[in-house]
Amino acid sequence: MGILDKFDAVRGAYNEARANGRDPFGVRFDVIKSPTEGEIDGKSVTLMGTNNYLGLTFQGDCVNAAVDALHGNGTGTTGSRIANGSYGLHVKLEKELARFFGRKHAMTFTTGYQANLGIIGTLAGRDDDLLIDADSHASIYDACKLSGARVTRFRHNSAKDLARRLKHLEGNPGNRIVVVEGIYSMHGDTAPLQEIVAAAKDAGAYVIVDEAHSLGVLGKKGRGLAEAAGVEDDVDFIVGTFSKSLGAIGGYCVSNIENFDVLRVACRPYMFTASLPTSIVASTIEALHQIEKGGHLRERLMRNSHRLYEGLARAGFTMGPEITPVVPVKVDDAETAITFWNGLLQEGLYCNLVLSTATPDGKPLLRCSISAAHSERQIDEAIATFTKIGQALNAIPTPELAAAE
Amino acid sequence: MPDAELNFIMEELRKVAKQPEDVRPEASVTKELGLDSLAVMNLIMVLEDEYDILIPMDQLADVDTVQDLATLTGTLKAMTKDECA
Repeated sequence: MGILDKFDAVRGAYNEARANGRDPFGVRFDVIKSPTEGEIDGKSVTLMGTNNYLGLTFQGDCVNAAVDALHGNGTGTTGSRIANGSYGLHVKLEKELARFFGRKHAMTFTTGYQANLGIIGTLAGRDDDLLIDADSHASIYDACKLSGARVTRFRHNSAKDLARRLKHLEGNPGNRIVVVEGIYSMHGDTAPLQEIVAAAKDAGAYVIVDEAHSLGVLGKKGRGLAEAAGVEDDVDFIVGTFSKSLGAIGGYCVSNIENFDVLRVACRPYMFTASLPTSIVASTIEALHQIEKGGHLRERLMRNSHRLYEGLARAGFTMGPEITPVVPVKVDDAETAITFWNGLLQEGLYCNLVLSTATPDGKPLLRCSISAAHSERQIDEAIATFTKIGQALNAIPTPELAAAE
Repeated sequence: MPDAELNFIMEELRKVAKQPEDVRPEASVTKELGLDSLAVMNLIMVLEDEYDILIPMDQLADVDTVQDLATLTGTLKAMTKDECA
């Protein structure tokens, strides 16, 4: 048996996905021209699947800060902060994050994936119980494996199911740790955080919220769902990423918990990985400032989200449960989804094709993510393109047919 | 009723297996019946609801066949009952 034979089923599905057009998981852009435009084979493409929520990737101050740091500190740190030490900018970013979130402590990671792996995987030990939402991101599932803790999933967004499971665990000697996300990355819905936190606190459990898709998006100050839901005091740890609204790469955790700093010498995904290049750190600090003064960006982002969601819903598509910048269109079967996705790209619109294993209910998705940088024209064109192809594939009713019936 | 869990699991598996007729106690849940990790975890939730138990994900490492899953479910059910008693 060959060493890759165990992936036969995955390989089969992958081959099917790329059999009738482009490889949806290996798209090659010649160039990215702006937060919302790229080019493929010399043809202009509107980017509507890149999680660039605030459109800060080309923001002048962010780019300049990165360039200055590059000239000042060089291209990389060539090692971890434990071995090679921290640069001034690493420490500055952590101070800025703590201040931004109004917390005592902050710690940064080289990716958002590692932030979850590091924090969840280290906080939860062998005697502890992790309770995670069933729709959690892969990084949360992988963190569970790394932790060695007992892991139970509760039904997506059900505080009632969480409470029932916590009751089962009453009397267990270890800690109970509840993990939820601010905005779920596939269906774009938010956690009912007040109810979740109430259930957790009733049982004396710790709460971790992953604000990967909600930082800079939700809350008056852009701090995410915990701020929007008014429960920041009851959320023990917030984790997140610099790779979405902040337009760079990296992850973080903020907390008020005592002795937080011990994590720096206990958390393996922090200790055994090279630290972020300071160009990334510098642009992230600047992007955080943009979020702080970016109330107008958040307003525009929500306006854009409504415009796309409502336009597609009006055209007859089955949408996600809630209007956020993650705007998924549900499609009945993989074959239609693949054809649909290729059609969109042919017409100059890029979104994400998500096949069943990555979606909570097994339905394929054409997942759009909206940016504050999208123009109304880009959004209206996207709705028109979706509608044209949707009608051609009978995914939505065509006006003529509807009238004839 | 030692076979009650087995029968219930086989019935649930017939709804999601690639070939429902392949469902038998000695069949491998992932390799033969073709359930992916998400389908397995969803089945676990159904069992947790049905028997009011918790099946920690790490315990699934030892589960290969339908019978393994039924045995694990039965054991956890018995343990939960003991705790309540």
